[in-house]
Amino acid sequence: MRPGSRLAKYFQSLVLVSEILFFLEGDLYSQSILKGSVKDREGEALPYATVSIKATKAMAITDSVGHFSIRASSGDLLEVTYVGYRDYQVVLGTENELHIVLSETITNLDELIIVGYGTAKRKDITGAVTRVMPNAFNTGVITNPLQQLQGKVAGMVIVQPGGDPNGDFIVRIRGASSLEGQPPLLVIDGVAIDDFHKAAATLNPADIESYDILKDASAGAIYGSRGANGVILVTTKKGNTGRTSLDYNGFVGLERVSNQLNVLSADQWRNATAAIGGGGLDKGGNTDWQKAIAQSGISQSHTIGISGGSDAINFRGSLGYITQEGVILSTGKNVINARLTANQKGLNERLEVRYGINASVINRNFLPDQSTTSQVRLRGSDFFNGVLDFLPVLPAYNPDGTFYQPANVNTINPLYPLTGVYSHFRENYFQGSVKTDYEIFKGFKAGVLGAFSRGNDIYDKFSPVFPGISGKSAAVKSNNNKEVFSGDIHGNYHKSFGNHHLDLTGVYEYNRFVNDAFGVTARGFLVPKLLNNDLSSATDVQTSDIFSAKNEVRLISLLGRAIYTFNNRYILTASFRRDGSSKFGPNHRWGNFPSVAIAWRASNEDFLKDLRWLDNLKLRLSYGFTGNQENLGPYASRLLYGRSGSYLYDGQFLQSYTVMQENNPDLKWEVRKSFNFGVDFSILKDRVSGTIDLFDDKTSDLLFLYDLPQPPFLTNQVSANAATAINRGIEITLGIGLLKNQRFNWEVLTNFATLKNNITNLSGKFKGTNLSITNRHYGYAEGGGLSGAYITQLQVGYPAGVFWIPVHAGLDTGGHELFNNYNPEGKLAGTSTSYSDQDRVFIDPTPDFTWGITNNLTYGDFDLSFFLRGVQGQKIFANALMNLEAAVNLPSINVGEKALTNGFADQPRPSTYWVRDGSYARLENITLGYNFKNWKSVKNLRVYLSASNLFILTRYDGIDPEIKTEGSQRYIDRNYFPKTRGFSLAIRAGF
Amino acid sequence: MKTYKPFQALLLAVAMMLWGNQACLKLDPEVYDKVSVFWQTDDQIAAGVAPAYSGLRDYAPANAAYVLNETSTDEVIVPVRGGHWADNGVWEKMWKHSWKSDHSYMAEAWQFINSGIARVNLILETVNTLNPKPTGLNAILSELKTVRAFYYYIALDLF
Repeated sequence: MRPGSRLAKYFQSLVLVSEILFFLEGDLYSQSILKGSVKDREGEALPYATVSIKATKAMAITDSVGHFSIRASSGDLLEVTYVGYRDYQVVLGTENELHIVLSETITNLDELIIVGYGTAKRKDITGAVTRVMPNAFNTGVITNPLQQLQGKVAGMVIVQPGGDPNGDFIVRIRGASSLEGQPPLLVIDGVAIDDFHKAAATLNPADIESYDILKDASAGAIYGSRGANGVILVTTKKGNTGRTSLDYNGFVGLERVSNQLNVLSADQWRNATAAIGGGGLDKGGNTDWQKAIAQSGISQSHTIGISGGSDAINFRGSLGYITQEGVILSTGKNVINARLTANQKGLNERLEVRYGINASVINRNFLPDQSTTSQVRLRGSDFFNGVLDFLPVLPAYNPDGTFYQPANVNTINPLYPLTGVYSHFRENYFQGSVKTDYEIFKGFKAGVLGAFSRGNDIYDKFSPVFPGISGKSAAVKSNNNKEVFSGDIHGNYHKSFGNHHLDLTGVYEYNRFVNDAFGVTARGFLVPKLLNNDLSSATDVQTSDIFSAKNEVRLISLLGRAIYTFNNRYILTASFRRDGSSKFGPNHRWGNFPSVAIAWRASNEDFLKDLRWLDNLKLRLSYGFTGNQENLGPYASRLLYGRSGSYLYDGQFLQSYTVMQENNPDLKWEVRKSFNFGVDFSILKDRVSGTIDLFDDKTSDLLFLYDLPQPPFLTNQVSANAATAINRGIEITLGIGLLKNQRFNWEVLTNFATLKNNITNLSGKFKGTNLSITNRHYGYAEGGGLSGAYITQLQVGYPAGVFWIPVHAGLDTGGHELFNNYNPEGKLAGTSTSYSDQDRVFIDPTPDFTWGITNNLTYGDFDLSFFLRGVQGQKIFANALMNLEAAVNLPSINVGEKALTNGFADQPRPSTYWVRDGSYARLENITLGYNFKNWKSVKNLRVYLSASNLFILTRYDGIDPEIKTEGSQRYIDRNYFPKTRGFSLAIRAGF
Repeated sequence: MKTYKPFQALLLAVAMMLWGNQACLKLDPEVYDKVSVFWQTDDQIAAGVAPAYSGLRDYAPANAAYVLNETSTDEVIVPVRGGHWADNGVWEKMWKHSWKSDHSYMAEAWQFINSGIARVNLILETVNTLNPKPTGLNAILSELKTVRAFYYYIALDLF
């Protein structure tokens, strides 16, 4: 924070006075004027920094371009200090000019952190908040802001299952709140966005100034109704006062598939089938199908920003264009994004108005069977299984260049659907917000916020008839619109009296979400070139091919927060929030979510103040409630009728109607009670700083779809609150400045987190009947001959999706798989070739801990950073390998190399043989950069090269151990879009 | 520049809250695309009675009741070919009569029977309590009772 001009004037007069005093003192030694400049590592001048000589009490302040002059003589100890940077000391020699470079501290106590509905200084925060600044962001082919954060925050796990450019990421802070889990709440510039993945997709990574991650209840409680899963606060770059400046951020990148599965090559297949005969299928080809569908994906990103203004109004506008080709043919996306934010002050600085407009258009080329971006989180794409199975002895192309298609088979050359099916998704998104604050009297501000957003998604698909394959061509056109209106009235009052400081905030908030959608499927088109643009020419449309839907949800909240600080060392935060949601039954619409937190700045106490090695020590304790209702349908508590099949009446087919949903008037908020104990510290002059948090959360009244007995109930499932789960763990973040001098800097930032998640109760009541879901099959092994093969469970005492699987006990002499059989007491009774449910054991697939280490080195104008992150103790069910490593499937489909040696005589059945260790350590990115100092008229020119995913250390032999950890198929590896290895060259420049 | 006194500001805020109280705290959503009020017209009554019949579609081949009836006899057998149709052993257990209570087609078949009966009972109860009485009430009741009897017949057959 730069002190105001009044302060500068004060110091300047002090300099004048001290200079006069020196002159009057008439020092014997001749003192000369030392001139110099103070800059930061990027060559930016640091104005109003303090330059002083303790011995003579001389002091100077650098001017607005960082220059200073001070009386000094050789042998004096010169000290330069500036808020946010490390103190700098040097013993003067005989020089007349000195150019000083200050380096930033790792933590900055006076730094303003954005907390819910306001800001607070880092030293006063009572909750568990982690801030991530741009110098910590991941670099490389970054097309989604979540990539910047992956692995950087202890306790926030971001998983990208595969390299699909059109796939959502899985984000969890401190574990899943409910059984299915929800992403955190994303708040951009103070406006909460309801659709997490769309908000992330429409945010340009180059526009981001900082992230603040709110992890515990105290920090997130102010967002009560949607903060149960943590909150990510995004601050975008804003305008500055002074001259208008231009900035450019861009990169060019190349990505390739980083790993393939080992299936048989053409010659290996011929050798393997020589004995059993497979000659009929051999068409002389020699194709690596995984390579045939892959390509080198080229990406580019260009963002121009312009910012400027005066004290009265400042603004920033940016226009960004990102294009990314996927590493699989015919996949990719491009994004155009425009953002304008402006800040206006008026009425004697009492009125402040903030405007924000954001618009984006995204075009996506999907895989042939993909229709949403969320598919990759839950199911993946079945397309890849066909590719793995396809025989290597079939050529990919005919001599004339067209795709080869084997005759008389039901399987199709994967290149046909990949390049021939038109599967395209277009997202239009617009958002605008206005926030006004008026200072009614000193210390009391009140204001209004209004925000509106409209999203419009269009999906177009056309799948033609391929040569040699029977069927009809099909076209799909569907549209999905979402409008969100939110408004709030807020007031803030703060007052200091003596050693006490009080800060009060009150808010009323209203949110309305309206969703509407429609779509048509039609079949039998004569002219495929028209794609789906002339649906009236279809020859086959059924009533089930058309749909439309519309719904709305309303959320109203009242909240209040008080922060009391005493003597700059004891801080108490208390907040209370009351939320109502239209999704719930009339009995329980409203929920109350209080929270309280205290913090003690122990390092300010007299008994610790003088410890020279201790810079800062703060202890925090918090306990709070947050609510969740995200995974409920909009009308979940009502009795609803819907159409249920057709019936013949009077010679006509009409729609019948039946009860689709039981009413549940007791449906209410899912509540997460969070307890957090944390320690923030920095020692040895900020050389080592860090945070340790211990948390213990319990979620009760979990919302889930439960089975109902029929009769007496009308439907066989109902959404109800009836389960509890716990999440607990430790998070440690550490920053160490290993080496620090004028030319060479080396700092290490590490984070480490554990998470233990358990379901503690799976039963409850619904209208007087006991609900329970014991023995609820959750995830299934999939593939040929595997329908109904459940392998994961929801079970009390284990995390959601725990593996429940028979134990592999070797193979018998005939190559048939043996399983352990247990008697009812749980003792091993022998092995056999069959098993029943009581022979299954529970295996916890969740990781023991996650970690990340960043090394930042600077040498002069060069900087090098590399980031390693990993997951330890994770288990994966290698479904894809189980499908492939079965020699019995030869010769008609391809198999994995291990199929020839694993000795299985039949199709493998799901067992612990396929439960593999999924621990890994990945070199996520390595970046080498160079900062140009004032090259021509370009300020802050920085050029850097990045490589991502250069290597991975893991024992897992599937494609990649970073697999989906959400949904019913979590930790089951199948349908995987290959992960990528990327190289990029990036430029950042300011003018 | 008018400066507001603190007391006046507070009064303003309270007034706003009270005035806005009704509208500001209304949470009833508009239900756009789902039906919550039904059984109003003759057509709707006919459409509401129909699921008693259309549920019987699940008696047809390849559904659970058919599987129980046929694959447990010599009429139909589903062997394993290569790895396909192994399906967690369901077909083998069906043919060998070695099923337990967790057998998926067992659960599905009895679900079909019980939910069918429940559906008919629900429709019976709803139709009986309609006011004004629907035209042809006796005919509707007789039909429904017959359908329910058919479900019971299947139940007795498979027990």
